[in-house]
Amino acid sequence: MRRSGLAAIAALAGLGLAGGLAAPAQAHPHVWIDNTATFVFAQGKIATIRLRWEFDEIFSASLISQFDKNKDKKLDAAEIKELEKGAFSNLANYGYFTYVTVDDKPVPTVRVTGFTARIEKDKLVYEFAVPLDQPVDPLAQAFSFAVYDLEYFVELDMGGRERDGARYEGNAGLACKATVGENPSKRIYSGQVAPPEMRLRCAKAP
Amino acid sequence: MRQGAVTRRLLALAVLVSALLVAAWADGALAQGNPFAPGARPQAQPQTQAATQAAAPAAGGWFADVQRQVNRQLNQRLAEINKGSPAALLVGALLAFAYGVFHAAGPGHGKMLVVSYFIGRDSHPWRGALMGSQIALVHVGGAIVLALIATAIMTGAAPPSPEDMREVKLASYAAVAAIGAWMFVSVLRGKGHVHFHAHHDEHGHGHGHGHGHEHGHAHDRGHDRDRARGHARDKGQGRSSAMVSLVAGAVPCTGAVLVLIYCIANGIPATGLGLVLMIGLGMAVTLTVFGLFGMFARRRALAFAARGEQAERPARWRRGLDLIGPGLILGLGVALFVGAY
Repeated sequence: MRRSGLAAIAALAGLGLAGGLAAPAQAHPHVWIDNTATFVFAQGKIATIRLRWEFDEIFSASLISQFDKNKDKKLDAAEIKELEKGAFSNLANYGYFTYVTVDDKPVPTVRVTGFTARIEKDKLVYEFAVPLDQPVDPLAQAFSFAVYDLEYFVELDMGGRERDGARYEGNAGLACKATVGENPSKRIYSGQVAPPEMRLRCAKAP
Repeated sequence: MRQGAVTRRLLALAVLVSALLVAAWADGALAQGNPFAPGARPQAQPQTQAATQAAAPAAGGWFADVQRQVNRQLNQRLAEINKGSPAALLVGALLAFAYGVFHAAGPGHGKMLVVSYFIGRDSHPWRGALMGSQIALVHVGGAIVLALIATAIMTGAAPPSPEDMREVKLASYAAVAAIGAWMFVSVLRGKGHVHFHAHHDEHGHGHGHGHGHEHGHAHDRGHDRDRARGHARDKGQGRSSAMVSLVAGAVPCTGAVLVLIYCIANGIPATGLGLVLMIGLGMAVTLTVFGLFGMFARRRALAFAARGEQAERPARWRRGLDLIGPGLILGLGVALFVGAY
């Protein structure tokens, strides 16, 4: 009996503690993106990463209802411009969710080019390119790439688990393979989630 | 009739809160939690946060994972429901309920508020259920208002994620602290008998102190249950619990808003409303459980106090708990505010 009373006091103290430690995170994620990366080579080096993002139908619907103004289920040039302004450009504050690591050092991704968008079967698709200011030689440098949202509002699927999410262009003379795994040293969302990371290995094609 | 007045006030406040949210969103001036929306900024710098969290254990990882699965499943089922699958509708309703359960159990201040509230007051269990339902209804109402406006107005911006807006968070945390402070002061001023002493399991019947000092109600010496019902209209408790519910529920969850926008956009608003009500029901269940837990903790502590040698100990403990409850709410509000600032 005495013990249960003490347990109650301990519970009270624990509750107070839990209140103080309440994490800032919310019931995330709310948005899902299927990410496909195309590594574009120039003179044997990775010069650009082209990304294709396919949004889940629910978030797609909310953006389409906002930006497909004439409701024709297509995005024309003007609508794409508005979409870029209202639901893409701000990602600059988030590094476009892209993380490039060369020889274990992070390379900030600060600009993107060629944004375009369209509607495919009720799903919104973004396409854009991330140029690397210093092209990476995959034979000499360790290159890895990840897309994730630190705040986990969005979950981005690297596509590696079920299908090979990586594509290559201009890699004549190089055979490349991407492996997707979790990087346990990079955890997000109060350490609860380890986002997938893609490691690219290339060898001279025989 | 008091209940009516409380309801009216609650509605007025809910309208005010919704109006503020909408104004903030349409204005675009507020930093929003939806990273796609203009003005949103991450709350931590990417590289440094990754570094500091490198060593963090995966504590709660399973919770995040289950929640992620529920969110994702609900998202996918919703698309199937839209294609006209009745089975998906049933599964979707269950998932919406689960979403609500997890949403309310996850990080956030609602459940702590509820627990603290009931640690500080003698309450009949039905009041826990009432508060849980009130919070859920306020929450769902806010989501409906936001979703309707999001579909009606072309804002040229990604939909808002109110629960992630820094200013909205700061305002709601400040409100939590204010309510805590207000309740704390009323306990101090009430000199110990601020609320009815409904049921002590040792007695089986209450003393019926009522709110003599506060509102001059007549004492009611009926049976426990009857009395609890009679006192339920007690203004002090009705008002404070309504205020706590409003603050805990005012900021609608992004998930509910997105579900509604999708359903409205696809011409199935009734389905959307049903699913969001299921989310609310799930939340109400979780919050009620937390409320009952707070009541249980209080009862155990008081029962323990009653076993002491000193005659005045139970009264001292009761008064201590009366102050600890509001104190926890105040501390919670302050801690969250400072943390978010």
